[in-house]
Amino acid sequence: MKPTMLDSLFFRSVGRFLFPAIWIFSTFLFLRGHNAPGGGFIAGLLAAVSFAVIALSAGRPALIRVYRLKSFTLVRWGLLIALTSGFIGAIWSNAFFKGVWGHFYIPVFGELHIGTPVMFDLGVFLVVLGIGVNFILVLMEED
Amino acid sequence: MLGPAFLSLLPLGLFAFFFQKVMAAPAVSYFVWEWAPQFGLNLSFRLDALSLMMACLITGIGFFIYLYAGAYLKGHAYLNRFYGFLTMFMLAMLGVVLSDNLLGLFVFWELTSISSYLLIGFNHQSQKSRDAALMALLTTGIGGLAMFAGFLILGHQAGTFEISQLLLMGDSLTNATLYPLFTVLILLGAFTKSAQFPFHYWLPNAMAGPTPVSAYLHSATMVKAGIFLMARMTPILGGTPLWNTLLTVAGSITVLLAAWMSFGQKDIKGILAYTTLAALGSMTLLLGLGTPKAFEAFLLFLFAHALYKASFFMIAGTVDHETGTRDLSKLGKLSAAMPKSAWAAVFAGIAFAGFPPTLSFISKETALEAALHSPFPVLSLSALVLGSIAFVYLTLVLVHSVFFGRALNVTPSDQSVRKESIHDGGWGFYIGPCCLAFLGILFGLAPGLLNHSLLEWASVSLLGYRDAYHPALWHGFGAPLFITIGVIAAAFILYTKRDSSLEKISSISSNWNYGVEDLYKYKISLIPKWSPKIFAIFQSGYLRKYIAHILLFTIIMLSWPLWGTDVFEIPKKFWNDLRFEEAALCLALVFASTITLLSRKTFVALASTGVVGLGVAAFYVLYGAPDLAITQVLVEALSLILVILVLFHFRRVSIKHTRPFHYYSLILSVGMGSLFGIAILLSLRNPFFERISGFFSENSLLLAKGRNVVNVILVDFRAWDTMGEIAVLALASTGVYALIRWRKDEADNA
Repeated sequence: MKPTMLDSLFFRSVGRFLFPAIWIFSTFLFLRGHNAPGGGFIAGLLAAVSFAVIALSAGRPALIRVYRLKSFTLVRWGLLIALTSGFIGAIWSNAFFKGVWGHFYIPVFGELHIGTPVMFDLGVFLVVLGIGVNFILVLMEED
Repeated sequence: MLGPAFLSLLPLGLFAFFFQKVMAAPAVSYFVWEWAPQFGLNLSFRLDALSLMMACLITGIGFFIYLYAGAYLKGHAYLNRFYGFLTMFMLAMLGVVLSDNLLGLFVFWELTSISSYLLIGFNHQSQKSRDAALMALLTTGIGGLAMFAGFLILGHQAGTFEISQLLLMGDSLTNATLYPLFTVLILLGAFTKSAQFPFHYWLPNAMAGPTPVSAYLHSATMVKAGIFLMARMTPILGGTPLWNTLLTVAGSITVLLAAWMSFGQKDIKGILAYTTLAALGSMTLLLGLGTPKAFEAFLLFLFAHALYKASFFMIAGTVDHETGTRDLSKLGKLSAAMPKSAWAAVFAGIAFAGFPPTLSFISKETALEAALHSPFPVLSLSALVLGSIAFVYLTLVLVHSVFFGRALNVTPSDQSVRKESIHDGGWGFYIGPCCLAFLGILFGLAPGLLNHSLLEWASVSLLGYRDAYHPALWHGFGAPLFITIGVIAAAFILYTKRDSSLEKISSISSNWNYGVEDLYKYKISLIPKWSPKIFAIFQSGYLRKYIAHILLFTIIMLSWPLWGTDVFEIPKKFWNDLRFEEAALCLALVFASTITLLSRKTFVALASTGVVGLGVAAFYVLYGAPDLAITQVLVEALSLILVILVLFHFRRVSIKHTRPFHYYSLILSVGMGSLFGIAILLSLRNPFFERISGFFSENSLLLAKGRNVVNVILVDFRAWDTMGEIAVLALASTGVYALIRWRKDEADNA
């Protein structure tokens, strides 16, 4: 069996276009997560799927080229970011993981609400994505 | 030298902060952060005299240790790691002494154990260091767990974990029926940490760590955590016969034992370790006496001991660093080569021996007086006198024979140390010992400096009211003075005769472990002996068997509460409400599962499992849970990809199941499936608590500013759960990563 397990011309050609499309959708799901279906977990899964598409269509070397990071970098950063959001709550609002919100006005776009739950969600996103890609990388290793 | 000097600004800055709080006396400051208030766990800090006194010692001595370590470990490959551990330790220790919450105190307490483990085992290539680190961790860890149990019982009894509230409870705690239980448990923690008999054995072994560690942790700070805890608990739990007897007896035995065993030591760090034990014993003893005078002596001694012991340890480290040996029989006449260290040793030695005009002289006089007028005069007095003789004698040994007496006797085999190369070293080596020894004398000459700012104020923490202390060098011709003169005379006689008569004592006491350490070693040796036999039953090495065990256990645990209930009674509502699309979906799911079971081809089975997953997602859509549906679809897609990859990866590994295991799996599957079916049917009968989902949907936008209730629960209301989940995910992925890589490495090596 060759490294590209699904040796289909169709999949190989579509794969490279699917990747950015999935990422746009993943970002969309992540950002709307607090008010509509979506969020860090779902977005992370979807982003992991995007890398799976690369891996399956173009092979592991291509995945490494695109992904670039070391095995546990994202997982580590994700956990750190999530924990930090908890500590921010502990310092600002006197309770671990209590949400701290800031409101900003950005000229063209309008009002922006941003808070520690968004940061926490980003941590979740990174951990889920990192683990997904980790599995793919490790399992596709050739012996 | 720049790096350590820069790093030492941290303890210095902290010291400045605490010092400014001391100046603000007698205002007690509080800082409270809620951590997990539902468990009574808060990060609340209380800055009163007792905790500030400890905090000043920790940061003040810490400052000199930071500088000293920079000189001592100069050029060490892991210097950064060392400072990381040291800082972790210092902050944990500050947490212990400042914490106003018992559970928070316990967390910091364990952190000091862990950082101490890392620091003792810092030279991790040496088996001796690793064993000593493990011994310290296990001993203090077991004590810590006992203490935790004691805290829980105490907190349950009192209804609060806040120390400041416990202080207001009066006699209701000491009169409680459970009082002996939680007191003994808490004291177990304090005794193990402060190396009181019968847990004294770990401290001398902990000298395997680098000398800055011994100086900081095992003389000035960490071992004082147990002492501090006893002092903290004195107004809450103390004053009872049980408390006083336990502390006095354990303290006295520790002093006597340590003084006796210190005579036989040949290693200068060993001597210091045993004298530290004796000092800790005296502090416990003084707390146990429980009189105001004893508390005064305790506070004085706590301060004096930290100052001279830290400086002495640093001097010992310098001697070791320069000569390459710590053996008393080889060291001598170092004063010419190391004049600055010699001066520091003389001044620290005056304090060590308890000669005037030092703070430790005042503290010893006060202690003797307290012992004379205490409920246990004979035991406490004999312990203090023997301890004092040992201190004077060992000071003479350490100062006179190392720096002045016999000639240096370094044989060529001792790491090629040349006599000419021995010198004082950089300023980092001697600045700490000199400053601390100087402080000991300064406070002795002017005890009022310390007394007015801190000591009298600290008496509030022990007694509940402010006691008037009059520490002074001259106390008049009282019994303590004559005892001191006798002690000094005895020690000098012993020192002049040390070569003849003491050799005998040495040979006996150095081999005398009093069984406790042997008992520890015996118990430790049992673990590798028995654990393979026990774990061979559960740990077959096959992942599928582990999963089978877990499932079997789950089935047993779940069916336990269902036993005897009529599980098959299906409510009528169930059939009436059944809609067409639901029934169709159910049939499709059953069909897909059957295909999974019957198919002979792996990929067909996989695909039909995927169909089952998508069917479940369709259910979520039907019941208006789009988040769950999206998650389900994505998980299904990703896990399908991963399973394909797994199959691809292990394509050459053939798994042969035995027939019994096949049947076992079948039974487990049927069991799990029917159990969950039954559980769902039962949940129909007893509807969920309506108010929980009501609470979430009402407050989601209001409190957490989000309209998607599911997401708000995940990232805000139950963020703790999610944090745990992603942490477990990350751990599981490291496990998978390691398992696959390990197989690969093994294959490569084969």
